[in-house]
Amino acid sequence: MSYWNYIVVCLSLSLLVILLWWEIRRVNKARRTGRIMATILLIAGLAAIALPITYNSTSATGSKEGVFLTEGYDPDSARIYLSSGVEVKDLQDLHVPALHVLGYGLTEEERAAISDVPVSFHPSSMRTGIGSLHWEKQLLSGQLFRIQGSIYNTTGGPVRLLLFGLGSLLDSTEVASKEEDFELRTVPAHTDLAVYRLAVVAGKDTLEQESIPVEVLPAKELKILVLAASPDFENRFLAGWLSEKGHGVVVRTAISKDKYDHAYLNTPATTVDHLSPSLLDKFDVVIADAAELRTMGASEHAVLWNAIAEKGLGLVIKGDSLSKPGERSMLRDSLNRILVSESMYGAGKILLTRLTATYTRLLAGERKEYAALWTRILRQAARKGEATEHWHFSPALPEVDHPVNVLLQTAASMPTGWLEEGDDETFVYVYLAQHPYLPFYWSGIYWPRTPGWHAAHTENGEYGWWYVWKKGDWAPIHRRERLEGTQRWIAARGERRAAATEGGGMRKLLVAKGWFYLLFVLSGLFLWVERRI
Amino acid sequence: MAKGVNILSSVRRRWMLEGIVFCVLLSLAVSLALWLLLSRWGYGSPLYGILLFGMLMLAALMLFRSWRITLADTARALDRWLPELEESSHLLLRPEHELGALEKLQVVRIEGRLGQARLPHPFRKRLIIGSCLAVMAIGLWAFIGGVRSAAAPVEVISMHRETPKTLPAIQAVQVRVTPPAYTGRPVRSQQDLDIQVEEGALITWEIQTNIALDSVQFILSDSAHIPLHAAGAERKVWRWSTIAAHSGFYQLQMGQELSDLYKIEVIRDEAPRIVIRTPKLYTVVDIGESRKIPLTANVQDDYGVRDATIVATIATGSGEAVKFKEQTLPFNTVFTGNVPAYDLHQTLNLDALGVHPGDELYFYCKAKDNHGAESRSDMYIISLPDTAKLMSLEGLTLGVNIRPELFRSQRQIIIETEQLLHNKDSVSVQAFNDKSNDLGVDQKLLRLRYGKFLGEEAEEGGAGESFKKAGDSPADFGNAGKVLDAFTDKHDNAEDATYFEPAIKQQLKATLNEMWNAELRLRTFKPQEALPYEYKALRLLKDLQQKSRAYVAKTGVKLTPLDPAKRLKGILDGIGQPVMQTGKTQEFSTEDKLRKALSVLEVIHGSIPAPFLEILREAERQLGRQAAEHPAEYLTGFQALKRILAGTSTPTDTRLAQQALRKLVPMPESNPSAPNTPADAGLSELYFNKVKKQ
Repeated sequence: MSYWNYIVVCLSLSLLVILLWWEIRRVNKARRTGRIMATILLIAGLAAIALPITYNSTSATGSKEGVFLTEGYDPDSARIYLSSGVEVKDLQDLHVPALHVLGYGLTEEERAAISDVPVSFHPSSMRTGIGSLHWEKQLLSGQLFRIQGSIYNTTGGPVRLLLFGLGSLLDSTEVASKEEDFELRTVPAHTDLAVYRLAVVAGKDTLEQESIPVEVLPAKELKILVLAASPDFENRFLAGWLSEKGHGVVVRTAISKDKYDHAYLNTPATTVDHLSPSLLDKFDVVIADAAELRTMGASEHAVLWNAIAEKGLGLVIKGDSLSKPGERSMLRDSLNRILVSESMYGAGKILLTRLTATYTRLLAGERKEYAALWTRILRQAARKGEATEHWHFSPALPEVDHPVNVLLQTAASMPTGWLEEGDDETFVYVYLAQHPYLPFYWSGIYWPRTPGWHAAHTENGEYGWWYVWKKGDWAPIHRRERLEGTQRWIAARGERRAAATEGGGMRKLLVAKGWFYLLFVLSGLFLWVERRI
Repeated sequence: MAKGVNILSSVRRRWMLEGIVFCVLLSLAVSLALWLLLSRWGYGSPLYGILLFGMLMLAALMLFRSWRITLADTARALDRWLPELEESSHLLLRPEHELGALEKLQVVRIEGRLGQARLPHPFRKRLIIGSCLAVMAIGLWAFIGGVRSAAAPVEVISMHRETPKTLPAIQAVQVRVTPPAYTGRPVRSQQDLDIQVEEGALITWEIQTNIALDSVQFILSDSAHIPLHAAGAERKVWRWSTIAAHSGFYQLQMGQELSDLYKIEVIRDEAPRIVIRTPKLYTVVDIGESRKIPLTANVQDDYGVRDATIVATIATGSGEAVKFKEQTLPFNTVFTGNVPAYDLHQTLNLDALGVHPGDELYFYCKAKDNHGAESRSDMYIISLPDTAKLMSLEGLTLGVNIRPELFRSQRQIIIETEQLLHNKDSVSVQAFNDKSNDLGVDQKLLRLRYGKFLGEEAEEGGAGESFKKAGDSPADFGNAGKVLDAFTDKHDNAEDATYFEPAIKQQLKATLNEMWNAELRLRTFKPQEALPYEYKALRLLKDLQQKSRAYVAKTGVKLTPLDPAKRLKGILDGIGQPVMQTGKTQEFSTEDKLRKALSVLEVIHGSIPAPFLEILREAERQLGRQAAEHPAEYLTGFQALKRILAGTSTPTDTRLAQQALRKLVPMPESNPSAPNTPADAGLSELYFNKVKKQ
C-alpha cells in the first residue's frame, strides 16, 4: 500500500465522519437510516474510484487475449485477431491471458519487458531488401573489395544491386529468385576513408540504399633479405619490383667462392655476409635458393631456423622439388601439381615455391598477375607485426542513439578511450573496464550522437576509424534480426515454461472503475431526491 | 403605352447586365483564389487560370439565371416591389387593341407613376458582395506575388551596396571559326563559348561586355595570359583571334572577374586509309594463268584525297644476286582533292612491268590527302614461279629418292602438253584431240597411282560422287550401312591411319585435286587451260619431295686462345665484390596524393583544413594538366574541383571531381604487406612455449 492509498482512506473517513454527523443532527428524522446508508455508500464509492481495487483470479476467463502490433504487420490478420482480442500498447502492464505478436517481432528491450504471459508470434513475410551482408571494413591498397550477402526479392521480377563509389558505378549484379546470395567486387581506387553506396533497384524504383564505409590503408613496407646461390633474372626482377613498391630489399648473390654481389634497395648498407640473430631480426622475410641453403654453414643454418621458429621470421625457399610433411598447398597448376606450399615451423612459416620463371610474366606485360602472385606469397610468409591498439565495435552496424560496445585490445595499462564525433574535434572520454581473465581486453559503452565516420584512439595512440549509421538504415537486416530473435526467444521461453509447473500462478486483476462511479452517482442521487420529497 | 414598355425593357436590360457582372466578379474571385492554390502545387500556368475562370463562369451563369429575365418577369417583379403600380404593370405588355377601356385607363395611370417611381435595385447587394470578393482575391494575388518577387530585389539592393557599380559581365559573344582551306568547309559562327574546331582553323572572338572595361584578358589552359584589344573607344567590344593548334581550355578575365572555363577541342586531320581488295596479300601466278592482275583499292580521307599511286618493286634473281627495280604506277583516276573517298582500279601487267618467271613483284599503295598527310598500305607480293627449276632433276640426284617415276610422269605430261600446244597449228584437229585425250588418260593413271598413297580407290574425283554412290540402286534405298559407308570417314582403316602425316596427306590431296582439274581440261581438249593445273600439281609434288629433307648450314666458331699460365689457380684476391645501393624517397608520389584526394573529397564539408587543401591543390594541378590536353574528358571535373576549392561548390561537384580523378589514377596494384595482430600481452607466445615443451 502506497501513501496515496493511506491519504485517500484517511480523507474519506474524515469526510464520512463529518457527513454522518450532519445526518444525525438533521431536523427531519424521516428515512434517517436510508440516508446514513446512502452516505456510507457514497463515500465508499468515492474512495474506490481513487483507490486501485484488485482481486485475485486463477484463470483469466472472460478476459480477452492481447494483440501486439509491431512494424510490418498484416492489416487483415490484425483485424481477425483484434475482433476477438484487445490491442496492447504497453508491454509493461499486461493484463491478458495470452499475447499475440504480429509483424516482424519484438526488440530486445520489448522482450525483456514482457512478463510471464504465453506469447504466440505470427511473423510477416520478409519484404524485398538486403537480409544479410558482410564486407571487410579495412583493406590494403590494391586489395580486392568484396561485398557478400543475401537478398530477399518479393517483387516477382529481377532486382538489380548496384555498387556506387567515388562518383561512379563500380559493380552491379542481378537477382531473380526469391532469396539469393550475391557478391559485388571492385578494387578501391582511393586511399583512406570513403563511403560507397549500395542500391537495390527494381525497374526504375530504388527500393533500398545503404552506405558502405570502407577504409583503405597503405601497405606496410616489408624488409626482405634475398639469398641467391647464383645470379638470375628471377631475383633481379623480384628485387626491382619490390623496391619500386617501396619495400626494403637486401640481395646477397654468390658469384664465386666467398664472393658476393650485394644490392641494398631502399635500405642502408649493412654486412650480410654472415647471418646472425640480430641481423635476421631486422628482416620480415628471407627468400633463399635451395642451393644456397644447402651450401650454408651449419652455424648460419641454425641461426636462420632458430629465427623462424622463435621469432616468427618467414622463409621462402625457391626451386626445391622436395616436399616436406605437414605442408599445405597454396597454389596448384592446371595438372593439380603443387606450385607453392606452406608449412608452419614454430612461430614462423616456411613456403616452398617451384616457380622459377615468374619474371617472364613481367616481361610479357602481365604486371598485375605478377603482383598478385608475389603479394600472396609474401603476405603469407611475412612476420606478423604487433598492433599497439585494436578497436572493436559491436553491434556490427552501429546506429545513432543506440548503445555501442567498445572493445579495445591493447597491452597498455589503464587506457582511456577518446572518442571523437563530427568535425569539431571534441572528445568524449570513455573509461574502459578490464576483462577479468584476459587483461588486454578493455570494454566500455558509448552512445553515438551523429551519423558518419567517428575516430577512436587513446591518449597518444593511433586513430581507429569506425562508422555510425543513421536511424532507419539497414531496415531489412534489423527486421530479420528482430524476427529471428523473437522466434528464438519464444522457443527458449517455451522450454522454460514447460519446466515450470502449470497453473500455479495467481493473478491480480483490477476491478473496473465504472461500478464505483455508478455506486457514487446512485447514492448521490438518492440523497438529492430525498431532500425534495 | 410605348413609354411604359420602354421603361420596362430598360429595367430588364439593366438587371440582366447587373446579373452577368455579378457572375463575372464571383467567378473571377473564386478562380483567382483557386489558381493561386494551384500555382502553389506547381500548376501556375495562366492557361489553367483562364480555363478555371471559364468553367466557373459557366457554372455561375447556370446557377444565377439573370440573363433569362423576360419582360413579363420584370413586370411581375415591379408589381411586387412598387405598390403604386397596383399589380397592373403587365398590362403595359399587352397590345393596345386587346385592352378594355378600364384597362387602358389603368395603363395610362401607371405609365405616369412608373416614370416617377424609384425603381428597385434587386442586384445591388449581390454586386457589392461580388466586387468585395473580387477585390479580396486580387489583393491576395498581389500580396503573394509581392512576397514571391520580394527576394530578388533585396538581393539586388544588397549587391549594389557592396559594389557601387555593376559587375562586369559578357553581354554578347560571337565566335567565328574559319576552317582551313583543306577542309573545304564554310566559315561558321556560334554563340557558345565551348568550341570544337578543325586543326589549323582561325578562331575569332568578339566579346561585348555590359560596361566599359579597362582590360579583358584571355587565360589559356591556366597558364598564358593574353590581353585583348578593345575594338572601339567605348571599350565595350573586344576582339581576339588565334589559330587552333592544340586542344585546351580558356577563361576570360574581365577586370577582376573571372569567367567559367570553356574548352577548345581540336579535331586533328587524319591520314588517308587505304584498303586493297584484290589481289590477295600473296599471289602466285602460274604458267598459263593471266599475267594481267587487276588491282582494286579503296582510299578514304576525312576531307579529301589529293593523290594516290602504286609503288611496285621487282625483285629479280636469287641468292646473293637479287636485284631490285622500283617503279611508280599511277591510277587511272583524276584526283581533285575535294572528294573524301575513291574506288581505284588499275591492272598490273606483269609483262609490261618486266616481271619474268622466277621474279617477285612487291607493291604497295600510297595516298596523300589535301593537308599533306601521307599513308601507305601493306606490302603485297605477286610471285611468278620459275618453271625451269621445277623441271630440273637436280634435287632428285641428291638424298633419298622417294617417288622419282611419279614426278617424272607429271613433268612428262607437262612437256608433252607444251609440245602439243606448240604443234597445234601443224596437226589436224582429230590428232590434236586424240593426243589431248591420251594425255588426259596419262594424267588419270598418275592420279590413281597417287590416290593409292592416300588409300583412295575410286576413279572419279570432284564433288557429288558420294551421293551417287549412296543411292545408285533402288534396292539399296534406306540401306543405312551403305549410306554410312558412302559418307563416313573410316578412321580405323589401318593404312589410312599410318601411311603419312596429316599435313602431307592434305598436300597430296591438294595435288590430286589439281591433277583432276588438269585431266578434266585435257579430256575436253583444252590443253591450254590444263597447263596451269599441271604446273600447280608439279609444284606441290616438288614441295612434298623437299619436305622429307632437313638441311643444316655449316658454321664455324673462333675461340680466344687461352693463357695456360693463368688457368685453374683459384686465386680470387684482387677481385672486388660489386655493391649496388639505392636510397629511399620519403615523399608521397603524385599517384598517392590523387588517391588521397579521392577520399578527401568524400570527407570535406564546407571549409577545407590545411593538410587537405594541399592535397586538393595537387589534384587540381594534375587535373588542369590533363584538361589542357583532353578538355572533353577532364574539363568538367577540373571546373568542379576549382569550385570546391573556391568554396562555391554545388552538390554534384564532388561527384564530378571524383569521376575525373578516378579516370586519372591507374588501377591500384597488389602490394605485399605484413598483417598486424592485436596485442595480447604475450599470451600466445606463452601458449606456444608451453606447447613446445610438452
